[in-house]
Amino acid sequence: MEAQMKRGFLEACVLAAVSGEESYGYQIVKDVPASMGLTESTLYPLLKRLEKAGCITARSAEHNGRLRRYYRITDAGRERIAEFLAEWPSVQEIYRYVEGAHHDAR
Amino acid sequence: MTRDEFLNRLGELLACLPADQVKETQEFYAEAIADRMEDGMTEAEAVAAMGTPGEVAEATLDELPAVPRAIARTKRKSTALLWALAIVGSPVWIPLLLAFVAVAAAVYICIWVLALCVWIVAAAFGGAGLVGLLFAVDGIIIGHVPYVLASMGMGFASIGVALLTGAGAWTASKQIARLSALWAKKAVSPFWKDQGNKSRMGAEAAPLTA
Repeated sequence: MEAQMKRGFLEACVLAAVSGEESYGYQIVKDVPASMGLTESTLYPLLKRLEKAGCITARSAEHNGRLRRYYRITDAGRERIAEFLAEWPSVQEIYRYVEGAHHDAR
Repeated sequence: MTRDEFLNRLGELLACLPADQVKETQEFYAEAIADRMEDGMTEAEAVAAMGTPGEVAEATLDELPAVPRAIARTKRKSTALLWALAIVGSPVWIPLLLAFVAVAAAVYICIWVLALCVWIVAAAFGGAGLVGLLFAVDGIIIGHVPYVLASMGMGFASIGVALLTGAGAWTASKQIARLSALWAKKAVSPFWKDQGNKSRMGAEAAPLTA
């Protein structure tokens, strides 16, 4: 998948993963569709970026005698998801165009 | 590799970052490894799932703006190398940095000179208006009614234009303040990144327009 495109998709996926209940690193990695190939080393910088942008909030809570960091979406984050979803019609239009041109050429 | 070996190595590779950021990063990966082990993986498997410490450090450093990233990468290889490059390269990077600062300052000044021009025009009309009114007073003193009327007309017209231009200058200044803030942000972006605005949700549209 093209790098820029993947970045946008990943951001949307991670926001979606923390949009219901609050979630934590490993759970997010498991929840996001496997085709995204999300790993911790991708997730960590992404979470930092989203937190800094005010799209998610984080808190530490105890779990089995250790601290675990939990993330939750903010209103700004929900807005980003809405923006992402709003792009779908234009993406579809582009796919239809590419598909059509590809068929016609054969 | 054990969990502690992984975290220590990561700490070494990220030593160029502030200590609290290193600690935070280590805590994140410690948590991820612990969670995978709770999920039934062995320690070695869980650590392996993180990728190599080198890859993890690279991914963390990738988020830095261009200049600190280059410094961090060089420092990671060797601190001595960084100092050697900084000293040997100083005839190159010091003039470049000065040029960069000069260009940034020049653009900033150019932007504001535009606003200043409009203010000067407004002030000139204001001044002309006041002189017109002064002439009108002179006209009153010598008792020449048409001259008083003409001078007053000129004076008030000039002041009117000055007020209009002044309002325009005010609006222009506000716009320019906004522009120069944008420009300042752009100028510092290789050194310092406002991450909140950099990441865009609409990234998937970018390759299509690019």
